Amino acid sequence: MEYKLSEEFIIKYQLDELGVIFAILASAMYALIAIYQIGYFKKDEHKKSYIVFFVLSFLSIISELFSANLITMYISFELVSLTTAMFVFHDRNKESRKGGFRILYFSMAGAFTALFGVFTMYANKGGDIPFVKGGSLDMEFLSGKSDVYLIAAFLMIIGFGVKTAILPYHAWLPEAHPVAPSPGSATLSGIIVKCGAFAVIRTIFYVFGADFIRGTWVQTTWMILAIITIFLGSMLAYREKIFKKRLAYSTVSQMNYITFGLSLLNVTGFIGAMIHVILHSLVKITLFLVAGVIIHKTGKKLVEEYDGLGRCMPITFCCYTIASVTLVGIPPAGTFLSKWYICRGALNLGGANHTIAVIGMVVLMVSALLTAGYLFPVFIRGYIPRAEFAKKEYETCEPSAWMTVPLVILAVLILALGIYPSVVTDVLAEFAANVM
Amino acid sequence: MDNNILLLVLICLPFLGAVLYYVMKKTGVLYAVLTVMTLLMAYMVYIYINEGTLTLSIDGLFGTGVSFALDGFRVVFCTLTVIMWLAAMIYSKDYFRPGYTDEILGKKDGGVSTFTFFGLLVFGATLGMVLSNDMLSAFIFFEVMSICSYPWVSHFGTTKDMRAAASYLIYAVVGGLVTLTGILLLQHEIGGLDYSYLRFVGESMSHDRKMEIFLPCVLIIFGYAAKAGMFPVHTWLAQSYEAAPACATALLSTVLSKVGVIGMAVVCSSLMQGCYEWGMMILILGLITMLAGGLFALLSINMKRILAYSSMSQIGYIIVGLGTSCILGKADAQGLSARGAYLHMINHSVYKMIFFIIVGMIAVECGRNLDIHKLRGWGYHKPFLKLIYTIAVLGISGVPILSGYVSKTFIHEGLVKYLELIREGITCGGTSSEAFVKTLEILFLVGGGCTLAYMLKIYIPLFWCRPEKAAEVAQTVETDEDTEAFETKQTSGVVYVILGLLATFALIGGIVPEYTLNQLGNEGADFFAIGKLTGAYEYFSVENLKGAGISLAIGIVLYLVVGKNVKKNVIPSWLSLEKILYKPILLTILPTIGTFFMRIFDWCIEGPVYFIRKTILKDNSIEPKPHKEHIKLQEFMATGNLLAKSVSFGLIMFATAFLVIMIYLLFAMI
Repeated sequence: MEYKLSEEFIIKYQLDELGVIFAILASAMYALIAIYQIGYFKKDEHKKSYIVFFVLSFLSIISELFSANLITMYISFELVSLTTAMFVFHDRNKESRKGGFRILYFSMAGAFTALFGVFTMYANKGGDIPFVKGGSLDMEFLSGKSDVYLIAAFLMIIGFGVKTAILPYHAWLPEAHPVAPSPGSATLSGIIVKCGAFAVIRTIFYVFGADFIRGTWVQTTWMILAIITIFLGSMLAYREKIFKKRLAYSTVSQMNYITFGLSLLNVTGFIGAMIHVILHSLVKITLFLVAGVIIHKTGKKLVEEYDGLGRCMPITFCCYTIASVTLVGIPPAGTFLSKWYICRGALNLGGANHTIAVIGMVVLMVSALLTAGYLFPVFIRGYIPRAEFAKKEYETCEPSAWMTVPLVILAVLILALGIYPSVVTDVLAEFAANVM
Repeated sequence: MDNNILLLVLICLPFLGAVLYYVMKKTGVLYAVLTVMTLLMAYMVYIYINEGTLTLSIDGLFGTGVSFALDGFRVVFCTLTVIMWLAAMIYSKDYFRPGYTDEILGKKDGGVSTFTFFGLLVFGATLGMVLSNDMLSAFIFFEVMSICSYPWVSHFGTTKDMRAAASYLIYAVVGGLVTLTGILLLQHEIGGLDYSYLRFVGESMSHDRKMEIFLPCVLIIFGYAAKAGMFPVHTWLAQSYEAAPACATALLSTVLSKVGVIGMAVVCSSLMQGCYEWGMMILILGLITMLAGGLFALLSINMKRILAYSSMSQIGYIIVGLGTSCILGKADAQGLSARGAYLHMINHSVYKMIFFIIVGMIAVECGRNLDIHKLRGWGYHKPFLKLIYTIAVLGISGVPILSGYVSKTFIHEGLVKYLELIREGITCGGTSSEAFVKTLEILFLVGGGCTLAYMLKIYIPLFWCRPEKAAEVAQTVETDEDTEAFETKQTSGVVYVILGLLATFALIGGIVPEYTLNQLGNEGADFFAIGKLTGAYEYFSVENLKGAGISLAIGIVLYLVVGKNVKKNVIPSWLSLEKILYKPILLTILPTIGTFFMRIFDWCIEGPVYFIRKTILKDNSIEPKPHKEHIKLQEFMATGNLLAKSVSFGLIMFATAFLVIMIYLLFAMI
């Protein structure tokens, strides 16, 4: 499908594996969140405007996933940013405005950084830039002004990286998530950030080609930024008291597992990153939905207040436990596998960046440890309250089926993917080999 | 039906049982699972005897594929695991009876359902780890085992228990991640993780190459050593054993610690076989573990804690055996030390099961405070328990004609053999002088002496002191305890049968080792890469008896001088590596430094913005006013609640349909 904005800028759509894989993920997750929010927004006065933007964000995501050239993707990317920023404004009070403007500013900053790269490309190429596996630009064309293109690639990585929360542009997450309604946070953290990863994959693997970036300063910087952000996210999450903010920092860290996996520019790392895209999406949505259940039923926002909640909401906390064990990556739970692939990718990386890759592997492990540090105490306290709360009588206050059913479905999916991930990994492996 | 698939059944059955138990909440499920497991295990032994080694590999499970094998060693160890679980699970019914755990916890069932549920999960994971035939699948099951055993330690939920449990969990997670790093590095270095491949590589590898993979191997055994309780990663052990319910402690000590040892043994017996530096490291760490455990046990007064340190000390023995066998390599044709280590794994399991069941009985009667001076005379009028306990004490101390003697003698003989080789001028690739090895041997004997000393320390007050003095204590504690309530706390007959059988094994193993332990030892020969012991071995030669005699003499002296006179807890509470080193570093210093630097990065974009807004660009906050259009829109929207519902519903339908189309397209495309 085509629509010409001008001679150069053509709105064009196509269907390919990468888009389809992400679209399956996004639509499944949107369906589950949609079920959940029927329960969540039962008594909310602003729910209509929320739902409108929810639908719009879904459409813009689909538009991004199926775009066939750089400019279409860029425009859709902007649309995604704008529509999802409205989730954060939902409560219409001071904090939500602050958080909302934060996400808008950061999206704009990121988008303009990327736009610079996009324009550079279009200005020099003089024609449409489609997405082709292994890079649509030929080496002869690139070799002429390789410095300019490297800068353009770097800016696009960072710019689209605003959604993958890479270092300079990570700070919107911890501000935006706590004030957004939980289904909104879940959408942001589960799907929207993946669109950033998607955009980066499209730019690097479908426009420039992995060979062009490999071994250059762009790859080195990219890896270093990703490594620092991994550590930053989990370190600050470990120190965070507000549950949703903690989860937001966790997203910062986990998203950069994906970025790190991609930045390795080899097949193993790419498979690992893709597995992590899927699993992190499932897990983080579960975690945010659980946070939503807790806020919805009890109004508690601080981690310290969660003593004994596991006895009140056994199903919810069971799902939380499964999700958090998975996120830490304790085998056989899923993210063990993504970590396994990413680390192997890092070890296989030859050349000048090998040392950085090995450091990255160590940081990945430390971060996994910190992940355990910030996720486990919540459910441990939940099941086994501290002595002063132990003798209290706990009444069951499980939420309605609208909210528990999506959680249970997610938990079952997470478990199934952990035990038999080959269904997904085989597809991904075949696909990854073609992209390189 | 193909017999290989039974391996998978063996592992999956406890997991299925756990799920069923969780759903149905019936004790019947537990007994059904245990019965089927016992029968299945018996059948597996039968198959093994007839058909030899079974192997099974499943690609795609857990993403990386798993492989299992059932060889001689695994048959023995799996049978041991099943027996131990049988004993502990049957005993748990007594332990969790009304009047003890339910009162502490304030829960109706005393937490028995939690214990059983996780017990079954750990059961499956343990079997999985033991049966695994490559490092990665072993690691996967090992981690499941570590994490699922956490609720055992946190069972009672008091602040002290939770601290112990936190320590347990941190070790499990840290150990797991370090081991995973090691496995990744090793995979990268040598390109395969299958046990047979490791053995092949280990044999053909030069010494220099071995030094290159030294670091990965250290990382790999870190997690396993932590589970086994080796120095310096032992700090969780005593507190966790004390915190867990007795039947859980029994399993932690008898099986889970051994699983850690198996993880270490894989590295020692394949990759690092014959590497002097590695063997010496393991040997010395094992010796420290043994001595530290023995010493701490000697100075403690809580019965459960003494037994916990005793476990540590005995694991030290096993590790010494592994280390010696690593140094000797092919020089030790009969594989005495590895054989000793392996047999001691079995013996220690048997004895510790006896001890911890008896600890559980005491705990049910006397509460959680198990100060040995308060328990004085508990067993004076219990002749059967006295007999069993006597066998166990003598057995674990290595007194001849009991099975502990055999295994300890083998380990000792390994060291003696090393000494002899050095005297003959064969250095086994190392630089140790004769005096150094002689010192090691003496320290080993002292460690053996400690065993007897701390065991006597519990045994004599408990069974040979008159209970009159204790009666006063008991009366002051539970004055209004009527006889009926006391009756309900009696142990059921099945448990006595279990104790009797375990003790019988110890006796038979010790009296006729040629027909029992010899056979078991030969079954394990392949796994530990040692030769088979053919022909008669002089178990009761003067040489061997001399070693045991010296050790026991040291033990009696130690008991009379130290053990008997320790009346209160003399180990200062600050003296623990965890308190002075690990916790401050891991929980305070490193996070503070990390947070500090990360905050700087966190502010690198916003800091300047904030700074500018506070100084140059002071803006007034603007309160937005609702627009007319917005109010109209609101009114319009308010009219149709239907609209919102239909949009939401439409979206669900749309997304679902979209999902189906996409999945179809994906498969159509690829």
